[in-house]
Amino acid sequence: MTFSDAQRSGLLEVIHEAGLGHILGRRPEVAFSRLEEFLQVYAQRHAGTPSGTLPVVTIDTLLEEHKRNSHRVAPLLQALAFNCTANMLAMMWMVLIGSTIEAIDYTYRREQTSRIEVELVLPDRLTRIRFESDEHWDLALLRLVGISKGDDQPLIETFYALHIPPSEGYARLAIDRWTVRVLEWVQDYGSGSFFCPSLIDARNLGEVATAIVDAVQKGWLKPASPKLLESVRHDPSVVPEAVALLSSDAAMSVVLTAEGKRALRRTRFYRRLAHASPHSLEMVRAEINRVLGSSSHDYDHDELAELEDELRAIEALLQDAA
Amino acid sequence: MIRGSEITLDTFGLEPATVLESVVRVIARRWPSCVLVDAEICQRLDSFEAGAFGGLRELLVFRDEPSREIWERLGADPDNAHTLIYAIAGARSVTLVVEDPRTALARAVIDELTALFTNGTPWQSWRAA
Repeated sequence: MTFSDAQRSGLLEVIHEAGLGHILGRRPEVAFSRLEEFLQVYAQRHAGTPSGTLPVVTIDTLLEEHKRNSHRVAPLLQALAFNCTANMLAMMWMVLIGSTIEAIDYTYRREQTSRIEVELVLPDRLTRIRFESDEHWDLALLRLVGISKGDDQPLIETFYALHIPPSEGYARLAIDRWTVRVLEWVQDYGSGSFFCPSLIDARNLGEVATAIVDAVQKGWLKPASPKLLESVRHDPSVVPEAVALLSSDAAMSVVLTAEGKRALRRTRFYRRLAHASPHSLEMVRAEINRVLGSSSHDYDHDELAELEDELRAIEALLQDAA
Repeated sequence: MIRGSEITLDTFGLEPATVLESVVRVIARRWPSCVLVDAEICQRLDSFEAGAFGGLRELLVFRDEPSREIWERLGADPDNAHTLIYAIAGARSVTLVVEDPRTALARAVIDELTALFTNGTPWQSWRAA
């Protein structure tokens, strides 16, 4: 079984949406291969259950399920990222779609044993099915369980996705006081200008208007208010209204896409230089030299000193690369 | 739409779809034949497994099919007392509308969900501390 290009592309999107782009997205072939294994094991276990008790799962149904119930797919992918076995992923999926966890037994003996056994009751409320594993990584499943009590008795109902902070280190940004320019956007999102709403004022309204429109076009910003964005496009004087919308934390979480949030979090100069390509480093060096050589920049003394430090670090990295 | 009391529980950022699935799991243990209806479009979910929870924000959970039929026919009526829980999920909380939060069932559901959202889910539950 191999996935088609469309399926692979769909899976990559799902992986990124689940916040796992910086983990699974870096080694997609491994992720695809483990998903294939999961589907095979699920099919084997499914074949041993009464007809109609559980749905058939294929990569297409999984992608479809992500559209309808992305919150079910996220914990599955997180478990996959934690190196859980296909057998336990199959168990997990059965739970996520409605089976009940009847029992979990875990045994650990240092340097000897790490064994987990899970018993489920399928959605028909009759069929019992058992999963066992001696793979230590399967213990990671316990990171994802929901712990509760009903009538003061212990209950584990299902699996929940962990909150994974946005990935760091993919964008190389050049930030002056009011705007952020993306020099390199490693996750194939292209490059261009972005902006930092908390630092916007009357002096750069025109630039901000352009940046907002650019950001929307690049998909970094969702037009929470399409009408407002349309106004911005034609009339920069309405930007303060847009800025007010973007400046509140509550609005931000609605307005910014995950990629936009990542960009926004980089409020210092050039990050993660060690991971930058020589080409990127040269771009950053040119940008710093431009700022240092300009008399009209907005950096204060400390920031200029920091820039000079950055420049020295870049020179050293470029020398090493050479 | 129904008489009753509103109980609002903090969900600590858990997404609405996950919250509503949790609500259903907790209620379904008490009402195994419960019927789920998307309250915004008045459309019944075929089952938990096949339900599209992704876009759900408001969910009616009836005790069983006869209860749903009585509700549809009569609305709130003594014949269908305590047979419906209405859940409305928001960005940071879920509101449960129950006829009487002092009944054993309502109390148990509220307590269990409170414990789950506060201490039991890995998603941002540390904020409860």
